[in-house]
Amino acid sequence: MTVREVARRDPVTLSPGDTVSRAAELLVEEQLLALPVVEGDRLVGMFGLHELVALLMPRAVTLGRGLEGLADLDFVADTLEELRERLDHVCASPVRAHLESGRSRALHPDSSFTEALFLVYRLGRDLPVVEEETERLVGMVSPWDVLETLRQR
Amino acid sequence: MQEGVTAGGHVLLGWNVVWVAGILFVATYIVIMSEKINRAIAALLGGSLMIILGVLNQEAAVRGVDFNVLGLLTGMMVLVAITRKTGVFQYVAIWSAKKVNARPLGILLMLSVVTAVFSALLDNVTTVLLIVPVTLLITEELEIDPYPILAAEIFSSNIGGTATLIGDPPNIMIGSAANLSFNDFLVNVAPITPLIFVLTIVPIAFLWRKRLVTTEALRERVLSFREHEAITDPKLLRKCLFVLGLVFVGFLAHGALHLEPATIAMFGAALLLLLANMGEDAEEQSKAVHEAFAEAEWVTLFFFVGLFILVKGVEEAGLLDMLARSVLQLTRGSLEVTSYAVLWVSAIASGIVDNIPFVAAMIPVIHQMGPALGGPEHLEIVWWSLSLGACLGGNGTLIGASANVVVAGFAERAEEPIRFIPFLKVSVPAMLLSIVISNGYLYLRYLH
Repeated sequence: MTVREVARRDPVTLSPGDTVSRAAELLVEEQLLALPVVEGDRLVGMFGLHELVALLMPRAVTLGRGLEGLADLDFVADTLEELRERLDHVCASPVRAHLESGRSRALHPDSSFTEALFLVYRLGRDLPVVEEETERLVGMVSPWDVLETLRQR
Repeated sequence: MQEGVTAGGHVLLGWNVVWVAGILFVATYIVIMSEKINRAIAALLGGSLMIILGVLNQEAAVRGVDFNVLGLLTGMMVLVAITRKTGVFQYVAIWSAKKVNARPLGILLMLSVVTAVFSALLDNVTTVLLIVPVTLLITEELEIDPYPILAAEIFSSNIGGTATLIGDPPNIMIGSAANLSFNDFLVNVAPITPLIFVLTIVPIAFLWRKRLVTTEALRERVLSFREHEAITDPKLLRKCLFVLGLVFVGFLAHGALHLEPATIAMFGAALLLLLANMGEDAEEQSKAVHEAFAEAEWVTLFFFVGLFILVKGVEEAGLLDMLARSVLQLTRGSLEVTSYAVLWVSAIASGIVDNIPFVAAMIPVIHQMGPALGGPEHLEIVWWSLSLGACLGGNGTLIGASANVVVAGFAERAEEPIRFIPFLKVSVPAMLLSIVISNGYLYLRYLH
């Protein structure tokens, strides 16, 4: 079985210039964990819940070798107000500035179902499906689709 | 014929050993300084080539590696790796920030003291790796420019590290090679460091006082931090403090006990690993031990291995002996002139290039000068000059010490970079002042 059979066509996308607040809106509306960011047809990156929440973390946590080794941030007592303020600060900035770091792992139409399972295991979010040579986004695979496919008999 | 060199004093293809060793040494150092290739890779390649090209034989090479230095560094790295999991470093930083009411100027002073003290007890790079992230957290909450506090932490780490045998790799290397104990450093070098610390940090705090201003509302944020929550594992913390206390006592007594600091450190590391994992099943233990060792800075350790072999190579080839004799000629065998020369040259060299390779090369040179200067007692003063020069010289530029580079790296990733040239405007005067004070100290205490 290949990914082609599981993927959803015509996925919801973001363009690089879309704002963080638009992305947040879409994530909630469509109940997705990550959205593909496309320029024309080409996938240029992913922006999802992880990247959104990273914007709310103190920078010291998201720096490499920073505080991310911390077991918890319990000692920080930021109020909801303060976190909302932080979100407001970044709301208007374009998602292109905050794309998932590192090259986005993507599936191809001919990728195996096992590969899809593996990426769900590793990344735990919606996965883009791109054509190998052109990097054109042709679909998305959601973890729920994967689960549903497994459960069907 | 020198020991360790192939028969006839010639090497591969009949090249002259002195030239081979010299060129290989200089070439490797240049590569290390240029940072085009990772320093561990460069050092290991250089070291292996010393052996392969016949400058050294295998036994001589191994003799050149100072396992005391490696053991001490590894032991401390493991101890810190376990201790940092308890969150105690975050606790101390936040507690001290709250103690001064979260006033930025006070925070600069407090975190400088914290950094200096930790740097004296742990190695400098580890200290800044622990302190800088939580510093950035605090400055972000207070919405102040982190630059003044980060710069102060750079200076504090180098000054604090100067005070003890274990505080800075140059001291570890000198202590091991010259048979100087933890207490020797405490008695001879530590006394001048508080003065240097105050005369460096206070002017800086004053200089940048305008950048250290925030609002009461923002201070409230930091004041609302619950530092007790930063301690994630109180039981483990108690074990860590117990073992660290034991290790510290061990360092104080190691001379009398005829034990190397490395033995104390490795024993402490093993003891803490035992205490931390007691009662866990084999798989958990394996995982925990693996994690603790994984956090050791292997790049640094192997950099040392390669470096030691490189230096042994030029030493065996007689180059360092030549250098020692030239130095003695220039200083006319005067202890006083030699000491000052070593102090100033070390300081300037350490400011420009990393102090570790410099000290590695200087140690055999100074050893050679021993007899001419009147024996080990007199030579000791030169060792203190080297220690002060090499450690304090690290404050000279942003690249003068590894700790500086680490802080700069963090600052860059936090998008508040510390630029090389602007930093010089503060670092060079600060370093020169500390060397002038050291010069005076050497004169007043030993040489007049």
